[in-house]
Amino acid sequence: MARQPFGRKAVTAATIALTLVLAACSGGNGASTAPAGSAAALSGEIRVVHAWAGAEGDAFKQVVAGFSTANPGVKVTLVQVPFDDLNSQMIQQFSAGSPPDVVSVLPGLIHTLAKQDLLMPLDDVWDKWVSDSEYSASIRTIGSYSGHAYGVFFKGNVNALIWHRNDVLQQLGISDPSSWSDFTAALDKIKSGGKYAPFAVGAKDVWVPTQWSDAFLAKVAGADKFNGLIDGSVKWDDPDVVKAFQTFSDFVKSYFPSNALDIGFTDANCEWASQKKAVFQNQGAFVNLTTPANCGKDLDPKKDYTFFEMPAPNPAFSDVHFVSGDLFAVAKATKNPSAAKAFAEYLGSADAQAIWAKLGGFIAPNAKTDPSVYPTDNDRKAAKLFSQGTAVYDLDDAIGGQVQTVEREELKKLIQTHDVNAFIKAMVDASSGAGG
Amino acid sequence: MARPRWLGTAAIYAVLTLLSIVWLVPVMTVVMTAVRPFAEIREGWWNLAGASLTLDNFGRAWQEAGLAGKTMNSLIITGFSVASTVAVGALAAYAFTRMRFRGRGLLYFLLITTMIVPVQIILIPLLPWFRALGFSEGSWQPFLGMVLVHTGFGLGWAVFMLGGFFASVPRELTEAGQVDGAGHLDEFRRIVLPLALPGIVSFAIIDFVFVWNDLLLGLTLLDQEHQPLTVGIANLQSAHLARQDVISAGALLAILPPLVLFVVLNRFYVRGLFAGSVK
Amino acid sequence: MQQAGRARAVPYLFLLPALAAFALFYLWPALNTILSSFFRWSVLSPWTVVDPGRWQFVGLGNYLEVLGDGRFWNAVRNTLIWLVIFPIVTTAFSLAVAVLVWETARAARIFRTVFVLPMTVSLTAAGVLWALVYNPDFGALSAAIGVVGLDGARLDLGPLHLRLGEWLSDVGSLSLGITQIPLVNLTVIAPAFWALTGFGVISFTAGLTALNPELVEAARVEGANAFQVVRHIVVPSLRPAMVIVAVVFVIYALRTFDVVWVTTNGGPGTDTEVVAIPPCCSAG
Repeated sequence: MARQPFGRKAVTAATIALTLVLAACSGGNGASTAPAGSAAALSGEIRVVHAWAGAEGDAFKQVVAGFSTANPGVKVTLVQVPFDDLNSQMIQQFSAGSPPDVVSVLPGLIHTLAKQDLLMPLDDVWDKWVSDSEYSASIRTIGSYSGHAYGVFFKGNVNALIWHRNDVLQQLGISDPSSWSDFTAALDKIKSGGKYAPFAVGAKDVWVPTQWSDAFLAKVAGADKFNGLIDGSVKWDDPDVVKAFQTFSDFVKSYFPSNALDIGFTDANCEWASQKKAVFQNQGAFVNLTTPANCGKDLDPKKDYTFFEMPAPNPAFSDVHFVSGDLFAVAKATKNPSAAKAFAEYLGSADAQAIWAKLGGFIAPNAKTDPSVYPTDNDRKAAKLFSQGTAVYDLDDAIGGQVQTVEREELKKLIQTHDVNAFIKAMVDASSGAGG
Repeated sequence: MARPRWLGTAAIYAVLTLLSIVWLVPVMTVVMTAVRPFAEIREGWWNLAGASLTLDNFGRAWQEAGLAGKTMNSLIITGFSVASTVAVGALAAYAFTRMRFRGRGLLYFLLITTMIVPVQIILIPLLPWFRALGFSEGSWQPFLGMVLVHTGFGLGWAVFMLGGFFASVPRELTEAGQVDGAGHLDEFRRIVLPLALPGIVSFAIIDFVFVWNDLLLGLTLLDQEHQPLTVGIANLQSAHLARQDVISAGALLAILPPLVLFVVLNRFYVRGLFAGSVK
Repeated sequence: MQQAGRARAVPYLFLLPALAAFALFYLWPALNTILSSFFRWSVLSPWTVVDPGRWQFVGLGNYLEVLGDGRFWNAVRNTLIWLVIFPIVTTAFSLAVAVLVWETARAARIFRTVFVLPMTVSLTAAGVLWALVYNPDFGALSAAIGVVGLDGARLDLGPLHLRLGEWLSDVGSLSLGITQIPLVNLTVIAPAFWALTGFGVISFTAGLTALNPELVEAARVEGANAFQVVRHIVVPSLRPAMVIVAVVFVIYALRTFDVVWVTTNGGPGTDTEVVAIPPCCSAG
């Protein structure tokens, strides 16, 4: 059923006069008059919404340029939205019946939009991708809703990586820990040494605490419980979930710095990378690119810094990797379905992803992407983790909505108070109250 | 008996200077962040040892946020919105303070509610309505729509503030009920407006700042070609990159127009254009 | 007769443009919002007046739900903190500044510009700016406190617990028996105080401009000192401006949302959440 909130029918008598005047004057800006090409060639105009600024925005423009070269008949208009406002703006545009043709979305929003039948299913595209082993079936489910695939995985990221400077680790005589007890022993050593803080944590940014808690959830409670929380089959007071948060809370108490809630991600990034106040930062693979950009161009990802994956507190889940990333979806209401779909398909292709991967700070979710395109070993190492073992997708991004908001705020509270019971109670309340 | 006058004056200057310094600390932070590499800012912006200067951030902000076009949009939207709000609001405020008519209390109350209700509360129905009225596409239509929306939202403030200033103008001409339409227009133009001008100017400044700094309406209702400066600056943000330097530069460029306006109008306050009329 | 009829129409003619803009761009959407509050709907399938087929009437259900939510009452408490602190402090301070500036005839323009300057800073910029000021590593506030040796200090003064240094997460609390007031609300109010003092200064200056200088001179000749002049002549003449400024600040405190949003997002937890944080933005 086509929803038309305040559709043209709805214009009341009071405004007819005004509308007429405006309609009479709004000549010039009609549909684009692209020259008619061959029947197969795509044409027309599509509007693509994303939220990448600066270097990331430039990289995305290069990716889009690849599409324009192959499809000269299609005019792609890129619209950038402030990343903080992406969700609310998309919800408003979709609900007003004026969505963009292709939009950058997180899985949580895909679920919300798909539930209202506002997105174009891309099942045939995904069938092809999975049968060609460009993507695994488990990645397909991340952007799916009730059996249909809507999301194209464009930019991948692996989290729970413990970033550090090579020279600092060497100086401290610490090597990559192979187990949880190795890891905590190293942290205790740093703490007692007194020169460095074990961790730099930028938890002022709302997404940072979830990077931590998701890592503990995946590696203490495991993938089944993790995904169960997303689809609602596992409750927040499940004993394994509680245990994961208890482990996290104890970790916070022992190793988090006192300024954790007062600095953001970029400040924390530099606390270990350039200022040498802390040894580690637990973050995603994108840190490889942001570190020189944030903390000094002279920092070289090839020799100055690297990461190891956070060891699993519960060794049974060492092979559960916590991934995230950016997806794209096509609006069902698009006026140019063939071009919009072709664009989405392009974004999921190895060719498109290689363009950004070459620039760094990007993991191509498409398994057919040539590993040699990555500019550094750090990127290659992270890309390998992405397609290894069992992947779980960023919990709060996948849930979205009110539960996400509550989790983000309650995690800050947890970091402050170490009160696991209060956190679990708030989450149980939020997830049971969330109707739609 | 009394202490010498200069002592009091000196004390006043001392207090104001101290307060000004405190007030300028955040401003200095922005200026320093905009003109120095951010790595230096991380050591404290007041730390001037080995300081280097860069104008790079301004260039990046200007280009990346498309400030050239967006400044024009902001000027158009703000200029017309303020003019329209002041004109429409002044007429209404005059009616409320100088005339008696049926429904006065109710209408005043309704208009005043626009001050209390936050914009975001009516944004959900406003967006489809804005489209239905034909304001979401075209070359000048979005500007017109935006100006009308800002006028609608500024009216409560206009009526409230201008009404306050109008009320303080002595009623010399008006005897309620005895003046016809022409007489009212005449009084409005020749007596009330000039006498309440400082008040009107202060309202215009505030409305200018309010419209100039609007992000939510511009972001939600307008397409890329018509969006104001604030949207361009908000677009400079990034989740993963330290953009404080570029945003500071953009913000400095963005405060120039209101600042110039204020400095120009400030002169006009101090000179006391109306000192003559009071004497 | 006709004349009287025309005269009766005059006020409405003055009001016509205002009422038209008001009705189209405020009243109609607001009415929609009010009506929709009696129905169940979601942002993606909003309630519309033209589609009665999809109406799901719940009466006062939405209101009861909000009233029964502890989070709402927490937000009410924080809004009350705003309502008590913000208008009083900002009105009093800006009045004092305006009068002092007015006394310094010569440098008045410079001083006034300094205090009005913050009004011109946009929201995004204010968020970035105050994050820099409050930054524990390289912010001016921590540095200033550090100079007097108080950075990271923990002070207990009866019911008042102060923690200096973690400006946007936990600066301590005030125990009031029935509730603990997180003082981080004050660090969130500070940017609004900084930004809106200019409004008070502008409005009071407008009032002072209208003040008859002869009156002041006469009082001085009579031997009144500066304080008496301010107390008996300046302040009474500023009463209308004071009402305007105070009302505006009360309204600002009531509908505040933007400053909270850019500084703390309502956190940590719900420590700084206020009533006006709308559903639109909690989607994060």
